[in-house]
Amino acid sequence: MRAMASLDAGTLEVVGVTRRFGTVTAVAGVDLTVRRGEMLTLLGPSGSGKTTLLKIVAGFETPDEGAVRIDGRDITMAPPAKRDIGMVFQNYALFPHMTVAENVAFPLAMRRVPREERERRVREALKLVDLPTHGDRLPRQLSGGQQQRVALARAIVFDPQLLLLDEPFGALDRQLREQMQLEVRRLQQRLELTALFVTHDQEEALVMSDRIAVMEQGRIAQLGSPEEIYRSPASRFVAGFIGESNLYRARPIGDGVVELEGGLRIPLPPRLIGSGHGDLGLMLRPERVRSLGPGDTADIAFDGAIEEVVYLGETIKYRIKSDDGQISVLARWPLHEVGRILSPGHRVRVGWRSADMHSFPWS
Amino acid sequence: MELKAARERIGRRRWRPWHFVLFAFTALVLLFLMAPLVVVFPISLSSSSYLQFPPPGWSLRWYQQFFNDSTWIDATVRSIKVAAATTVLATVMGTALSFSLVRGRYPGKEFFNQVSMMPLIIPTIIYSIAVYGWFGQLKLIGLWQGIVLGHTVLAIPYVVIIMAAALRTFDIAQEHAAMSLGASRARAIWYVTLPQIRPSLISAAFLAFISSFDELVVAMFLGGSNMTLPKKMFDNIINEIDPTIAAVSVMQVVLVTVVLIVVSKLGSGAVPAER
Amino acid sequence: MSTPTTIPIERPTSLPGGRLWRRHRDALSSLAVAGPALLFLLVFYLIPVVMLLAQSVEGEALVHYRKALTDGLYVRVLLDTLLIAAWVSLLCLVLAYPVAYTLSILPPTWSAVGIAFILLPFWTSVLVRTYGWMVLLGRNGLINRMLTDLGWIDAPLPLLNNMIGVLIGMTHVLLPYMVFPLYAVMRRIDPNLLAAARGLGASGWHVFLRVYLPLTLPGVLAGTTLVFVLAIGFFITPALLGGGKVHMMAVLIEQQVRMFLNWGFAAALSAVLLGATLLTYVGLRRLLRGNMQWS
Repeated sequence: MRAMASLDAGTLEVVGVTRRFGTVTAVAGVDLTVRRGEMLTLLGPSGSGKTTLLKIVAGFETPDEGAVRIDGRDITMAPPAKRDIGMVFQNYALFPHMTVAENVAFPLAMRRVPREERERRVREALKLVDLPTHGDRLPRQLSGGQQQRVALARAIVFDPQLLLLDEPFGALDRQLREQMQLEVRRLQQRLELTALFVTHDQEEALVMSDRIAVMEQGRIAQLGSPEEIYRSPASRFVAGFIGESNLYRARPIGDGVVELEGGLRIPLPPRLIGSGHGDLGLMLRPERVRSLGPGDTADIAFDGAIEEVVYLGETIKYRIKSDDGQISVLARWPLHEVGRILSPGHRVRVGWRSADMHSFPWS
Repeated sequence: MELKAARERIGRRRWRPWHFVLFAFTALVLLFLMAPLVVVFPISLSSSSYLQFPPPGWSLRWYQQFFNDSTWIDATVRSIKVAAATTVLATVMGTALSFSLVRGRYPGKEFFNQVSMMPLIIPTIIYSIAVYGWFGQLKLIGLWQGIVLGHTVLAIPYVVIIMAAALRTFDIAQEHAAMSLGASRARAIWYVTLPQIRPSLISAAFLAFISSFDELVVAMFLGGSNMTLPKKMFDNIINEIDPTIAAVSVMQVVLVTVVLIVVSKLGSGAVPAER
Repeated sequence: MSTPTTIPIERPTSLPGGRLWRRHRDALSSLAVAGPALLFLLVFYLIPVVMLLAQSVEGEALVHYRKALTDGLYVRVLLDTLLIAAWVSLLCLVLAYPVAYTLSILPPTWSAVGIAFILLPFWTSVLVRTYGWMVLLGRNGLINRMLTDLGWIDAPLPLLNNMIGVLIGMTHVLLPYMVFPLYAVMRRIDPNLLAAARGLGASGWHVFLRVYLPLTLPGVLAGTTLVFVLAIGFFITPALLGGGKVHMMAVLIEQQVRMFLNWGFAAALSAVLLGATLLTYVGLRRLLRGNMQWS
């Protein structure tokens, strides 16, 4: 099955797909290519169009414009049954009146695979998801995580060219979710299955993906690797959606200097200021804010006091406000570096390098 | 789930005096509801041809009367025939209609929804004379098939109510999953949906059967001299012939009890919820 | 494990007509599935009813309607029908409300028993139940016998072949239709709401009046609508228990057709009855919708 998967897995092309519902445009001219064996995540808040796009790829919705292709084969109009796509649903959608084995065998039965071959492949699939002895159980006798795995086995047993996952971990508790994320990722990589994953959870996206497409109001706001998206968000929306960060609106006032909203003026390297004339968004990750000792230097620094303390276990979040009130910054410092938990009012000098900042057009 | 937990907590409540008044009242009302059903039992076993309390003696002659009288047996068989045909027609068409009303997206759906409920709202007497007039012209009076047509129309709303409710609570993601796995919509419904709504299907079929078996007014007009059981019972009551009617009633009550037990085990949705 | 599978991957074909066809195809197939039932209802229900109503207007003359709506005799019948239906609805409500409440607070096994006692008569043929009432209410019936034997009365009470018998009979038949909607609504009331009201200082009576009763209003309206609409169309019970003295519209219509063959007039009466039914149904539904659904 492994050998076959890499031969069968296909390239997914979404070309200019648009879908409108009355006056609302759910998906607006989306272009996307998912490479063979790649796991691409559609990440966005509700209403961003990610689920509609997935339904279009799956065949439960028809686009108003554009096309969907797998390995060059146009499937835009094909019914779901004929697309050779495996899909894992939010609530697993296991058939409660069939045993685990019958569930997993279903797609093979639909394709009229002879019984012996069917049973063999079901056994392999169940082994792959680590449920070799559960074939005779009913779905309701399994735990959430086990049901999840059966749904996965059912979706891959027939060697689909593409695997779709629609927020599959929503119903699981945190620990189980993290475990399943890794398991599914491992399985996908092992089988070299092309996969499209939909979620609103940005941490999940960072863990699971080869690439992430951040979606906003029907369009792709940014497409890139998890690292790219995290380090260099292309817009205010993406910056606000991924991870926690300090966001400032900055106006270039010439000579490599920008003025922040509170009035603070800071110097920035040319590459951050860019060539445009409009306001900029500056992003700074809280981990990059450093506590400065007497001899330390930094590109941007100020004196201030701690306003808020949030205890997160090994890491503590501090909100620090400058003495002149022009700027406040969120910092994340590991407890073992600082040595103790600082209290509000504690005076501190903080700073960071320009290189740690990232910019994008403000609007 | 929270509601259930809250209710369970309250369930272990202390009973106060006015609760017992409530219980007594309820018991009386339930007695009121059961009274006519219970009272036919002793009458059916009475040895007298007249209505007498208490009965002067006990006898099974009225039951014998029923089984020996070919007109009673004919009427019963005819009612069963009509009810069976009605059940098949109404269940199949009504179920298909339910699928369309619950799943479909097309203009006029709301209107069709109302239309399918009309036989329940419009008084049966109006429908009865309407179809009597029309079938009279078509010379269809007296044919059991004609009664089937009339009864099917009246049974369809019941089937739709039960099946639509079942479909609405059914997780359609399962059908989608089946379709994504290679089944056409028809096969998805056959292999995945229908097996799971089977209890409701059974209830709907039983409801259709009983509604036809008990129906009087349409059968009265369309049956002519070929009577169904309710029509014969009606005539018997009006003409006050003898208490055979009591024996028939007892058998009906027993039949309904049995059906209720069967349906409660096999079916679901037989209790009409708030409409 | 190394043998390749021989499952042919079907090459999906584009359907004729493109995407507009595909989307409308789903709508059309939905309609097609509903087709048989809708056609059946059209041909065997709507058409005969329309044909009947057409007969009420004889050559543009509204002669039948004039008779139905102005002749004192027939106006009486209409008013009586509405009045009886109103009485029955009231009786059903008064009886059903406490019963539904009791069922909603009883533990599951007890409430199941109670419901069984309601379901059994509900599913029993109206004929059987009405006959049972004839046995109970007659001059020589059980009730009169018992009361005479106990010495509480000297002469048998006239409980049959009059309005009283009809009221009792109709209430009996329609009571379950009031109990079920009420029960369904009462079951869904969150006990926490009542506990909260108590905690805020309301006495038992106030909790009932100001919190519980309003919450059950949707069920009250639903049940009343149902009972009233069904009651105005009743035939069997008034025919058997009324002894020819209680005139309800359905009984009148049947007479006109069976005895007098007065099709035009019967059609007009039907139209009037239908009008009353629809007006009530629509009117009460509007009231129900306007009444906030809190659950």
